[in-house]
Amino acid sequence: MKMPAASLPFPGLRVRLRLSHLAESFMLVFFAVVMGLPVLFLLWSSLNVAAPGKDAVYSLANWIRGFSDPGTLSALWMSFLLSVVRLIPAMILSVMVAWLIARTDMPGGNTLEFLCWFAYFIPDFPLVLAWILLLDPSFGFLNTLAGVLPFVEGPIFNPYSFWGIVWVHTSTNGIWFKVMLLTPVFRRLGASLEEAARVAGASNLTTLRRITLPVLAPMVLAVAALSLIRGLESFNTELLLGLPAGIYVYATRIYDYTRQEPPAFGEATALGSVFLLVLVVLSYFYWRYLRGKRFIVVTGQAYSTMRVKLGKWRYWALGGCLLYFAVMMILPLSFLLIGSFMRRYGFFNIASPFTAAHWQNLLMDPIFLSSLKNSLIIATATALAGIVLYSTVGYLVASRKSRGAELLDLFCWLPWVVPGILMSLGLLWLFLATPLRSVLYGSVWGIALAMTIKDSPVSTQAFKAAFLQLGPDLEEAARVTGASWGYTYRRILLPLVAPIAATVGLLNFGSALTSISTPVLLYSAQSRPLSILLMEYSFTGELERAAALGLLITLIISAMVLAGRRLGLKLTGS
Amino acid sequence: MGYGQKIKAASFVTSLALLLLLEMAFGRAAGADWKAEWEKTLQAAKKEGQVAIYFYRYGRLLDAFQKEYPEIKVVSVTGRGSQLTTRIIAERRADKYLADLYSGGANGAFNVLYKAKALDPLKPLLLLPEVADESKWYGGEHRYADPDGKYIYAYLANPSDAQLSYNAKLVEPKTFNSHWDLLHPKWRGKIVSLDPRDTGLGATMQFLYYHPEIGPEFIRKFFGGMDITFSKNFPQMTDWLAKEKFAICMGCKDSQKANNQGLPVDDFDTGGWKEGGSFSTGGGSLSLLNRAPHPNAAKVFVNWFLSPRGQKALQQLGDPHDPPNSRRIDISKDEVPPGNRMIEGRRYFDVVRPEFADMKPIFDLAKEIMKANEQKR
Repeated sequence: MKMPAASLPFPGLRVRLRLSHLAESFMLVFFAVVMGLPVLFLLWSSLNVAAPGKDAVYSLANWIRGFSDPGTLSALWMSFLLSVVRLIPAMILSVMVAWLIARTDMPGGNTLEFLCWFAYFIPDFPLVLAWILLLDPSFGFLNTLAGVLPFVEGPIFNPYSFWGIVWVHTSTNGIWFKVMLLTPVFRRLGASLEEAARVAGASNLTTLRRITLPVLAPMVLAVAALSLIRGLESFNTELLLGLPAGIYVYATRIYDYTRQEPPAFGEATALGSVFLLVLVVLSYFYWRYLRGKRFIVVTGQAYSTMRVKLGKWRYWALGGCLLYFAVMMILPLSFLLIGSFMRRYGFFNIASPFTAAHWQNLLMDPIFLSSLKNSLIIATATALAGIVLYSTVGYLVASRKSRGAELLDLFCWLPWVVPGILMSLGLLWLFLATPLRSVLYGSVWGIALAMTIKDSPVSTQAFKAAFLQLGPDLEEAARVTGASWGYTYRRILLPLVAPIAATVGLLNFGSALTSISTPVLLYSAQSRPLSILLMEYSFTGELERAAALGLLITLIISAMVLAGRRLGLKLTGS
Repeated sequence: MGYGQKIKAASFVTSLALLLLLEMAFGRAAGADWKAEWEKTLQAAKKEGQVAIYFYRYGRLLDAFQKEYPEIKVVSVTGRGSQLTTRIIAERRADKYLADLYSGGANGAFNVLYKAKALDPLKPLLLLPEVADESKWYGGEHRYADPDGKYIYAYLANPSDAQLSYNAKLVEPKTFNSHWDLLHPKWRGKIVSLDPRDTGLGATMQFLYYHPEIGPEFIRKFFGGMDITFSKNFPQMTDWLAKEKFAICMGCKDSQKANNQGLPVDDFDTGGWKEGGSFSTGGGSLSLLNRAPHPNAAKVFVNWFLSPRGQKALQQLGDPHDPPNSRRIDISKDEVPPGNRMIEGRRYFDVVRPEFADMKPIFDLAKEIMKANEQKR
């Protein structure tokens, strides 16, 4: 039944409802176009079996060819196995580390959080090579060291194996991303529930297990789902370590199809559709788990962020974290840094093995400077657009219980379930088909838009989880005192989600600087970003210069992280 | 001398003089013709103001063109051959004709652009005498990689050594006289190779498949029966070869770089083997897209690029780490490393010939072998 405006308890509510309804409709149309259309283009095109440039002929041949390959199913099984095996310990570790950083009095938490950011953006390709130098059974540094021991016969490490891949993944993608997303959420958690549990006699671990984690379930589950999908899509590590051992994963199958000549995008899309299925299943379970539950941890009432006291365990906890960082990050990173100063990556026994030439050549390369400028424009635009767009989407998805909001939530997952190169192709078709072609195609703005779209799953989920934690009393109190919705959003809600906004902005900034697969079909010589330059160096075998560039990109992101954290803290008034 | 003889001599001299006059007149006219046409093209190109080139790998030489023709702005798109052809086809599907020229692998140009009828003949664009003169090119001919002999111009001649390298501590190269020697049981499990389904071994696979003394039987036995370790990353393979993890490598593209760095890695001199060597155009073919938006600027670029100046710039600037060898024979080869030069008197198998352009049977065979390998594991 429709209610006249005058009979509503709050006069501003109708305006607010209208505004949010309008925003929801606008977002739905926008995302249907920029995310749904490229996927539809791809699916439609996968049915076209005609040779390039010929009149379209539609059939299911590409799909049948893709799935009738006996290796496809075993590769899919291997992908799931690898993803799940590395997801479970990584999630447990990530939750522990995020909790230690944000909820306890462990010293050095902020530095550890910063190290996670730093580690996340180190390009994985040279890092995997560093692990090969450390673990290879024939010449690996650690195997050679172990060989000196009297009781060791033969190599004890082998990266070209199932567990080798799991190990290297734990180093390159393991906990960094998860800790980055979980820490701000842990930080926003009011301490009253934990204090109540402790008063009732619960230990720290029981409180974490029975109180903290269930309350933070939306974010923990979202991070687990995001990680599972990312794990399924991952192929760089598997390509370098799996192929020599005959381990084939699903994503490398898709990659193989895109590398054929002519590229078999039809078969690749057909195989990629499995990710869509995984997404639907995950979304269903996520929705079922969250249905009817409340996760409010920030309210207008007494709010305490007092940290858990660990006593003497605080130094043990710090020691454990530092050990993990030393093994998983510092060790390969040192090799990467040394590698950028080597005449040939990993070869110490050649004449004059060290040189600064790769850094000199990189910094004096005129393409480097123009690429740096392009990258900074793209990354800044992506970060800002991401915050504005996805804070609105996150708010709508968290606050509106409509079909439209559910659909919007689903749309925002799409860019991650479509492999990067295919999404790039879909966007290429989209850009070419619009009147905005001259603005978007081959320009930094087109790449920025593509990157903003690509980052939607993590951005939306992060904002959604943050808004789910805010109690409605905050908004209601503001409205009662006559504040408009815009004012409430700007002065009450946004400062409360500022740490998440800073995280999302920095995450988008970093991924815009490092992503290769998304801009690969969209850039031109005038808009070439640093990540493509990195790809070109790797492609032509200039690994040392690629390592130098990779480190430089990581340093730029680290500087932004430091600045961003200050801003985030300032916004929250901390 | 009799009267008749005098008459004959006089007519001979007169004819000769006439011929000379005619030659001078027409020769000048022809010279005037190309000069006038060149001038006209140049003016039209300046009006067009830009040329859009989709360039794989050697894009750095475009600066040299830009310096010479500052009025024609080069808009280049760089990337792998498959990325560039994908973009061109996608643009055309959207009814956008943005590219003038494509420079990349002949296989991509043939299998995608030629088959999609996206090309116009390049031959009519060759206007400058030093470009049109076929005697200045390897084999005394312009080499086109398409069956019509006019669309895909091959401007490089890189001997490929079948992309076979070895570790000097583990292999005595003189014991090899034929590709069939690679099948000796003692090399089983000692070979690393690029995945043959990838485009990275393209020209080598064409050589092995189409060479009458090698052929599919060799491919089957080599990739399927030698317990080969496969990789998709050539620097990784070169590292393995240098560290004695493997003895022989197929597809270690940076083997010469490793050799220069003092590592015990070198290429087999397969040119001296029984089956002879091969050469390909690598990423060096040039094609004109149809409905090109800047046809005159494209014509100016093609003539500059294939001229001695353009080809010299290609050798000097195209790839400083591995300077390619132009098919032009009237320019010096100082910057081209010995391994990339053609050796006179040696037997070469030219894989750019149109009859070897079809890669489909090769990839089908490679997929079949690799599938069997996966099942064996």
